[in-house]
Amino acid sequence: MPQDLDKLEKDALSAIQAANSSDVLEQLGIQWLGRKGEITALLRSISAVPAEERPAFGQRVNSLKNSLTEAIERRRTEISAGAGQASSQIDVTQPGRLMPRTHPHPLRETIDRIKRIFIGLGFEVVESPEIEEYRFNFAGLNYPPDHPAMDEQMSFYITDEHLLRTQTTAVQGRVFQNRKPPMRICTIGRCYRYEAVDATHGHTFMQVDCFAVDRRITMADLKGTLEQFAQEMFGEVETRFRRDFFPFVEPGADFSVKWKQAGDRWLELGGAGMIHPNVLRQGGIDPEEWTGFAFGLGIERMPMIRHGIGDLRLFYENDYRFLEQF
Amino acid sequence: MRVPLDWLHDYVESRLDASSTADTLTMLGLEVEEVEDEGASASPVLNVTVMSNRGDCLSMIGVARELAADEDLPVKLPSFEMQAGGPPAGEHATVEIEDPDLCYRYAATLIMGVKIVESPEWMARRLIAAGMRPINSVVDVTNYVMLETGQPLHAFDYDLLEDHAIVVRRARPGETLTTLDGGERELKPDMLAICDRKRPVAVAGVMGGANSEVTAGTVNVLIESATFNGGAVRRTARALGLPTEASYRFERGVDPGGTANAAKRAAELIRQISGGVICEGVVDTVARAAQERSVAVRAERASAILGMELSAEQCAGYLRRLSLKADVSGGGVDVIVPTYRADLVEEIDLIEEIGRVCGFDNLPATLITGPSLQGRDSAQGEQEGSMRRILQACGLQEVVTHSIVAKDTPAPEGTQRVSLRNVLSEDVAEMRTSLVPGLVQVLGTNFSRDVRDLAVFEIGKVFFTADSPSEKTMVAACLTGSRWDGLWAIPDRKLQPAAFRQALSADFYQAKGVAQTLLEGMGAQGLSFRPQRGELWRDGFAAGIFAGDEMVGLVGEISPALRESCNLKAPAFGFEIDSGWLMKQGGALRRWQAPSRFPAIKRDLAVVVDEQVEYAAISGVVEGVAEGLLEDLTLFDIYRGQQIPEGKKSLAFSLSFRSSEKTLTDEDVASVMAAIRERLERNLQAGFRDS
Repeated sequence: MPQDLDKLEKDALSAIQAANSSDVLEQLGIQWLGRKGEITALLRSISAVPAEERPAFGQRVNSLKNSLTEAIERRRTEISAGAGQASSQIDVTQPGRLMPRTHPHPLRETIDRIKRIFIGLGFEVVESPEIEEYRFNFAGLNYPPDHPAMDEQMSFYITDEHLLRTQTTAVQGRVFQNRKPPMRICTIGRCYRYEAVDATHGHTFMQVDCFAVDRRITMADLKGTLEQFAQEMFGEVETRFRRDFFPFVEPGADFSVKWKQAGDRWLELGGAGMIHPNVLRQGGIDPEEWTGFAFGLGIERMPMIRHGIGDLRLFYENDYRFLEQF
Repeated sequence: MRVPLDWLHDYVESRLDASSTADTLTMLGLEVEEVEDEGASASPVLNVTVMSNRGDCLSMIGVARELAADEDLPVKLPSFEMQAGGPPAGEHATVEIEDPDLCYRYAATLIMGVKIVESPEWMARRLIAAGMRPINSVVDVTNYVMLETGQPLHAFDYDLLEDHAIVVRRARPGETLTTLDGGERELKPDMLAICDRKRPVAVAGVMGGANSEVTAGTVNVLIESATFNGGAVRRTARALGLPTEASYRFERGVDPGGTANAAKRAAELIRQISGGVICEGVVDTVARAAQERSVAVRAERASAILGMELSAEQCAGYLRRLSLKADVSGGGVDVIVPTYRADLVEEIDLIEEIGRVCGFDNLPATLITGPSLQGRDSAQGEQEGSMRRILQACGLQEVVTHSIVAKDTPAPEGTQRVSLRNVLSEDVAEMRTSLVPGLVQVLGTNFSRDVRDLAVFEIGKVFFTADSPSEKTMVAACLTGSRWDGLWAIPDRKLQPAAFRQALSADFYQAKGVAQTLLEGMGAQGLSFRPQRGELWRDGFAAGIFAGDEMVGLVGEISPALRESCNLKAPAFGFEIDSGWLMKQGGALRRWQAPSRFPAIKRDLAVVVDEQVEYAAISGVVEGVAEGLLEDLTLFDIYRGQQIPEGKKSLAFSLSFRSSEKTLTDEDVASVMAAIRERLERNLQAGFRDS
């Protein structure tokens, strides 16, 4: 008797596995498990079994019933999920005819991500010129004449008054000319410094600059905003906020992240601080009534950290074998 | 600046090890780039980057003050007393400041009868650790005291000073000086010189002259300790190409209150090491006295800026740790700023100091509170996003290329370039006038690396000179090779892969097609394409894109010269369109129109015309005649050959008619087709190939 049951189970299971539609499966269900099905018949036949074998027989039939019920259920799920028996009419492993597809440039992808983060924090993106006037790039940002702070901002000059901006912060003075607080402004673009090119320096780099002016802006808001940005950009990341000097902010700080995947070192993202009262005053804003923060972050650093890119020059070379990785 | 830890500990009894000291200083703003630790044989050395407004920290004492503030420890200053045994210095030397706008104070001490020797081992070791080369027992002391106090000093051989006089004045036209490094320097009248009665003996704040140098034979020494105008020293050092430890410090601010002390400290150390007798007193000429500044700080303002509640007493406590005097008896915090902290001018500067000593890492982190503002992208940013999506859907890869380009990069005709005054090299010399050369370079670079099928685009600024240097945004694309993306088989067996590949190769019409997709996608209407020449384009294979009479872009084959200069050895095609113009084309919000409910009727028409008749002439006639009923006009073949006369071409069109009012009958369409034929015959002398 047990041998018969084993064979019965094997046959039933292979029939269930071979079923390729839910109708067939339905039929099998009735055939085996239905009110007039074979399992029911087996259970009814228990009286023909010697009394001492009855418990074992009963258990075996029950386990058979469970096994078939499960198999039918499993097969039903497979069929409804479309995992039917593969048809051999076509070779599904042959490559599909690909549609043209392009890849986001890592700088563009980063810029889009930055925009999304700051727009979500209530910032408005404005455009700003790359050829800037001395007064906006330096004088209006509280740079004293002949100050060594300008050494860090070696510039490409075009005329006496015009230069390639060395920092997107130059937009502040322009915005102050035609807007009144409260404001939260973000600008993104290229900046230029008179620097020889190597793996980590370029004469051109991209920067995002944000500033907010309102009645109760604090250094803590600056810190919180930057930390929020870092979490959104990098996920779990340790941040550092330490004193640094930029003439247009006071207190001034630099902002760094330490990311496990990037060697667990501090990587400076940029400078930040509370907008200097002189800068607000020059912009026609009363620093007693309004306070503000500002920060400028280098953009190339971000994809370098996130993707482990070691050489800045790759971004501007556009080798397709580099770009298609993104 | 290199700071040996053991030297630093002369002035502050810190228990921190080198690495913790480095972390502490870094957080305070004195970034320690690296710690050199060579084990037990030598003291660790911290490599400190000093912010440009903190000239006071270009000294061991200055760095010690920072560390002391953080650890709340006292600062131990060295003795500034000297054991004078000689006659009053004033009887043996005079100092006159003729230009008090450039020199605020000049203090001199005299040591007579010295014996120039080698410096003691401890001093030589410290100088070397701090990055300076020991020279002799007098010069070394001046360097040692400079590193200790931040005050640059200079030692003159007293006997070589004409009349034993120091005259601080602007250089006279034609005056020259051979500086200590051996260079002959031509001095300009805007440079401040230290002179004796006759001639310059030093460039103020920059370097001494060889004519008054302390040498092995020197017996009597005059020590200079002065305060010069930092901006003037900076200009002079730059003009002479002579940046020095001294000029570096003057540019960043030297304590005007410490002038005499440094001169005395140096005299005493020289006496101890080189012997001799110090003349009594200091010849101290003060043109502008250093004054301690008093600044009032409001605790509530500090709290409002830093974002944490601070009482006046707390504020004062932090400031006192920086050796500032802070008095809270008036309700606020009244601070007396010592002369060495020239960076502390107004309240906000002191608020920063409060935050710094409290620790930026101890500040809370919050988001902006108060009325919220709507965040949004700029209109230009949104429009550029639309362009980007269209071009990417066309299968073009976005690239980012440099906007500073090589000298004489090809430019569109009539463009006045923007050149840089200070070029980095021939390759980094002027601003791009067009995006196209950069894109061709990208194709060339990839071609040389065996990536030969490529289509790229860029949205970016180009530069030109109008009344002043100006910029505008362009969108450009460049295509080469085939857009056939490795299709392994074609359903239609008659079409061979090679033919398919050929059919999808970049050509003028592919570039034009992408341009049209972009233009239409951005809402531009009523454009015409007219033959156009251009520096960047191959003659006879380019068109201007015109909106009325305004040319808003170009499309064409890249000029062979341009592509060869980029090592691109295959034809390339592209376009460049004024993005600023394109962004204005979207116009008003579109109104919805119900699509026609009636069926369409299709007809084919093969028009045989003279070779010189343009497509636009034919389509113009067809569209004009069938206006209102013609839904679509598609050119599907162009034939030249035996079936038609020489000098003629046949253009085969598929026309789709549909009315918005009724179901068109065959008769309706036949009458329109007849009218089209009639008009084509009459206007263009067209014939027809009827199948």
